[in-house]
Amino acid sequence: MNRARSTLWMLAALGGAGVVATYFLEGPKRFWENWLLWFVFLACIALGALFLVALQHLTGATWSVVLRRVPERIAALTPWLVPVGLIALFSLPVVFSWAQPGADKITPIVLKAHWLNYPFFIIRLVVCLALWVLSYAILVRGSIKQDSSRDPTITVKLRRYSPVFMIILALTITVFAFDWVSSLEATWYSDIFGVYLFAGATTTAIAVTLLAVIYLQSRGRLPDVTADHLYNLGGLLFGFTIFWGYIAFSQYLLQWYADLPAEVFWFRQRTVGSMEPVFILLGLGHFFVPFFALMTRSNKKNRKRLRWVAMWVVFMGFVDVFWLISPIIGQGVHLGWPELAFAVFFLASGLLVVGRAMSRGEDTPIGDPFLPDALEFQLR
Amino acid sequence: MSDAMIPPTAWARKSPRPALPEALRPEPLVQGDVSLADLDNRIRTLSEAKPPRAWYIAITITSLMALAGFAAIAYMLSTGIGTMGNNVPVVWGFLIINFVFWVGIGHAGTLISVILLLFRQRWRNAICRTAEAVTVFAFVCAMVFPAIHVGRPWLPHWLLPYPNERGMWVNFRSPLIWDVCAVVTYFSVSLLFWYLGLIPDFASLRGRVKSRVKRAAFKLLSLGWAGRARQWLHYEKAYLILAGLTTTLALSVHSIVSMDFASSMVPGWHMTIFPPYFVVGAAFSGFAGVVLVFAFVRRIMNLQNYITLRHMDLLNRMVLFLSCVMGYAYLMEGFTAWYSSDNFTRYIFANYVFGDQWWAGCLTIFCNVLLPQLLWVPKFRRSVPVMVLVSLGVTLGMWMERYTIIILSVHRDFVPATWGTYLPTPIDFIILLGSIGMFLTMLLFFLRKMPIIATWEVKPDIAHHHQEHKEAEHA
Amino acid sequence: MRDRVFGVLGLFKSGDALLEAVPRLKDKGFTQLEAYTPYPVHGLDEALGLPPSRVGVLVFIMALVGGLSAFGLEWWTSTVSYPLLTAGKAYNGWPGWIPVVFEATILFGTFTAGLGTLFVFNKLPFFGDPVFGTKATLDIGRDRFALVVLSADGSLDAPAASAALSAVGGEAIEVVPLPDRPKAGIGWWMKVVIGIAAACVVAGFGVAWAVRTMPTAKPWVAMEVQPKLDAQQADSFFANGRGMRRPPPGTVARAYMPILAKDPEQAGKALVDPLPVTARVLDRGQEMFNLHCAVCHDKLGTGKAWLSKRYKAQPANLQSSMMRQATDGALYWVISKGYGTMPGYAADVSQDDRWAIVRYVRALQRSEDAPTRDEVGARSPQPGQRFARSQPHPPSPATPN
Repeated sequence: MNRARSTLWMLAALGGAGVVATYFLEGPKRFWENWLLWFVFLACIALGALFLVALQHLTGATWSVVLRRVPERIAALTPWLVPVGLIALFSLPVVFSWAQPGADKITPIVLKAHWLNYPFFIIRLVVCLALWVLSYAILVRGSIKQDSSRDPTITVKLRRYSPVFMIILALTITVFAFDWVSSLEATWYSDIFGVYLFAGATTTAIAVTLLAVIYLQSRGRLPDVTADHLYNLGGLLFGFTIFWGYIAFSQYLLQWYADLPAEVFWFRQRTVGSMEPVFILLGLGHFFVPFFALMTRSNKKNRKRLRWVAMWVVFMGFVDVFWLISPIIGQGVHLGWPELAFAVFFLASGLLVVGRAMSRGEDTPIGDPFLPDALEFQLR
Repeated sequence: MSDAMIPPTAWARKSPRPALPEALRPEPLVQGDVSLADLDNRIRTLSEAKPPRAWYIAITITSLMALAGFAAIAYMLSTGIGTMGNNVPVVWGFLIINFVFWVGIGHAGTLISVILLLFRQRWRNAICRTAEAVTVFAFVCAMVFPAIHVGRPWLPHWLLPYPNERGMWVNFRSPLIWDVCAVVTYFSVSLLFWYLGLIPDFASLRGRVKSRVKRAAFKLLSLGWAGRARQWLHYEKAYLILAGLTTTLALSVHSIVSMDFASSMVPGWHMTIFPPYFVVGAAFSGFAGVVLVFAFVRRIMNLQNYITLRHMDLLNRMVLFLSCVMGYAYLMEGFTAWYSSDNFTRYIFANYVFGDQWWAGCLTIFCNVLLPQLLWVPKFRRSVPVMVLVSLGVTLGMWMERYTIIILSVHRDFVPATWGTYLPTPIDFIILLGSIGMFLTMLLFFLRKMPIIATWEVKPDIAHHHQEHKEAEHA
Repeated sequence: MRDRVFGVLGLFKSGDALLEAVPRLKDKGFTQLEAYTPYPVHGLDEALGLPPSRVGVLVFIMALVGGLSAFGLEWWTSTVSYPLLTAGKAYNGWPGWIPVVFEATILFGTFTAGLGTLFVFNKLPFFGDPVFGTKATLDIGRDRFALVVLSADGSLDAPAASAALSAVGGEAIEVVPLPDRPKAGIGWWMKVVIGIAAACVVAGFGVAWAVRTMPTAKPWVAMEVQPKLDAQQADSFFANGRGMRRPPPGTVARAYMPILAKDPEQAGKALVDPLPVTARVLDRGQEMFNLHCAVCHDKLGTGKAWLSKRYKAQPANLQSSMMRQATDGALYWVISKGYGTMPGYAADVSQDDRWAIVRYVRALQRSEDAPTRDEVGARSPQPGQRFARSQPHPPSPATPN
């Protein structure tokens, strides 16, 4: 583990150097576009992981108790969203269309100046980050405390908090989606956008959880997670993939159908020219490939196949965020050493954070009163 | 093996289960000391015995309502669309509201029967058959409306893609055609799924009913089902596949209905959140409808042992959850209307709650978002008067929501010179009443003539319950 | 001793008891087993060694067939057979086809699952299961689980099987006889089904007939009876009882602006051809001239059409110098109101078309008497060469020079 960690540190440092170099060599626009991309992507994973934890508490599901610690550890990314997000605030005058010099002449933007202005925007970000970190503290610390105290009333409290968290998540992820992705092109609007980002976030988070579980099992940890548990996780991934496909297609179909200039320019930027292959890849890869791959029972129980599908889904989750954000700097698809540097930096740092979280404490919530049910879980 | 090598979870397997606090203790799905035979006999008696007088009175009243509705439809068809309130600018009136309303309620069965099956929620077993019946009947009511709302209802075959002498084909790019495909598919699949689930129940009834007509009917309908292991093997696989496919179908049908509106340019209609918003609304009205049906059925037909207060609690939780999602949807619609900076959209949404028909928008929000918040209180979730009040409110609220969306968006759109009012006529109301009568008539018939609980699905729960009882006694 | 039986049946009180009995019976050597249960018991198909169900494969194939057929139908009707631009969508606007493709996929898939499992895999309806004749059949439907030791092609050591069943916990052991050979001919249920199908067909024709005749049968007058006055309809509101009224004096019908000039000379002074001299106008004039005028005046305007001979009429020669000197307005007046035997064409030819004809007539006249510079590739006249025109003529007012 030490070798792996020091490799990750090295990669993070290398990536960090590349990140800094991007600002000076490629310009602020490219730098901030990539920074935003990774801010959104990591936020999606962290929030999706918190969602999975809260979902288990909300529905009173018992089969997932044995692997609940994994998304709890993945959610350790949440506190790190604070520095990433606060730094991202500096991108406002560079890439956000409403913060650009000429924005006060564009009528649609002027009409929503009450929402899109610096003070309110910053307040919203701070509130979202605060609520996320608070929820992380409640959901995850409670679960970890239960390891030593074995107190079942903690589960009662977490079950009571989970609907509150769901409401917080619904509202904050919508605000986040509208502010950090949709307002990049501030004249565009789509009210399903919060749901769209949520769908992508949960799909990616389930895939990351699957990958983490399979990786840990390959290291000899999590011996109690059986193929039946993985089948359920695979089934969840299947279901949320369909949900993502449904939301993505509804948004596209409705704006394609009405063909209103005020809306359709956003899609035009993302479906013609060099973005066309990305669009096609997104549609086929984010929906059809996982759909057919996860359809059969045998595939959902097979660790190797699940690992490939999960890796593909995480990649497609990134392609989704890339497709959303990269057109803001115009002139087609940019894939070069800055993107690589950012990827290396953020992936390595993310793995370091999650890895450090996973190396502390128990791998399973051994204090949860429903753990025996989870261990005995069998598919009928 | 030393202590250090035993995995930490081993204690969970070895040590006895800790005493759970009351809030976490699981509640049984079946109350009382009932056996498989008890359930069977109960269902057989219910479908065989002569119904009480109240049933005859009720079905007479609902049949009269349905007949009045048919008479109104006949009058409307022979005289013209002008007998209803439809006029420029509101060209879509009560008929479309009723259509969307009934399709929404029709989602009840699918969601309970199919989605809860996929999530392996055993509590759906006792309520799924009646819920599926509610779906089928609601769809029968729903399908009446598109048939009569067109100007020339004697030409419905023009909606189908058949080769004709004019060389014309339907416009497959139109949401109205998608509607035809979706509703027809959904109705036939719901009917198929309902019938498939009834086959083993018909089989168990066929030998034991006394009337010869009923025996022959059940024998024919059960197709000679014997309950052999390999029959069950194929059957269960098909049931699961149907559940999976029908889930996606249910999502798609109301999305397509919503696209009748959302694919247009009318302000207030063209919002991308419409598909999931309508689906959630359909689920919402469906669950509320089912709560309403079961609140009465379990009392009147003495089925409290099988449809317990836990079932009602869980149904009400779903109503509450969906109410919160509806609240989110309304919030998003209002916010995005403002955020769009489009004057027309901003006006329409302000008009919903502050305009000349403000009561429609406010009633919608009150009934759909505020009233169900009562269900946060666990006591209210188990109180029959409260749940009946909330469900009635939700049913009214969802009808009002369709009224708000359809009529309030169209009566004041882009050009003020075209603004108008919608004035519903008595014919509109009689037709709506007639559809309610038709639905209740079919439901009443089903409740007393067919197996209303899926015995083959609840019997395993009873057996499981007995086994847990035995284990608890031994321990 | 082996008897000719279907099998020996034993009842169990619970699914678990049945499950436990199966491997024990197999150990005793009775490997051909069948179970009848009131609900599906999990683990039973593995215990009995049943192969997994292939319903899913058939559903997948049929769902794919459904989806592709729907896509094909939509593609063909929208791009090949009846391409129409509606709402600005391209012929092959594929996003608009997805909902129907999706519905068709689900429809085919679900019906295959439901009907396939019943008719294909379970081979229902089949009312001849041997268990139906036993005493146990009612119990199986209610709350008992039956295990049947099957005979190998009809013969089985019944007492041994019965003993084995009792040993593993079975109750109410009974021998299930082989079913009688099925009667030749159609079973009663088949008759019912055929009856229902026939009724549906008859009903279908009936509905089709009703739908076709209903609009025309009273009281379904639909939109034929409308509270407006139709042409020729009587109405007591007016004194002379007629619904149709004359328009008030001075009413001008659309595109029928009257010509106020009394004669061609006055028209010539007042009216000017409003149309430009373009190829389009001349083509239109040619079309209209050939349609309306050439029958009498001949395609070149000479007045010597074959019709004239039969009619003994003498249409004007448009190539004559008198016609060349006539003004545009005069020509227009004559076309509109007629002259002598020639009828007026105002009701048949629109104003614009009449002016176009005037332009074309000028072009015809010029073609028969063109100045040298009009000839394509004209060369300077050689001495002694004869020209088309015999004598010089004054330029007509409409011809640009």
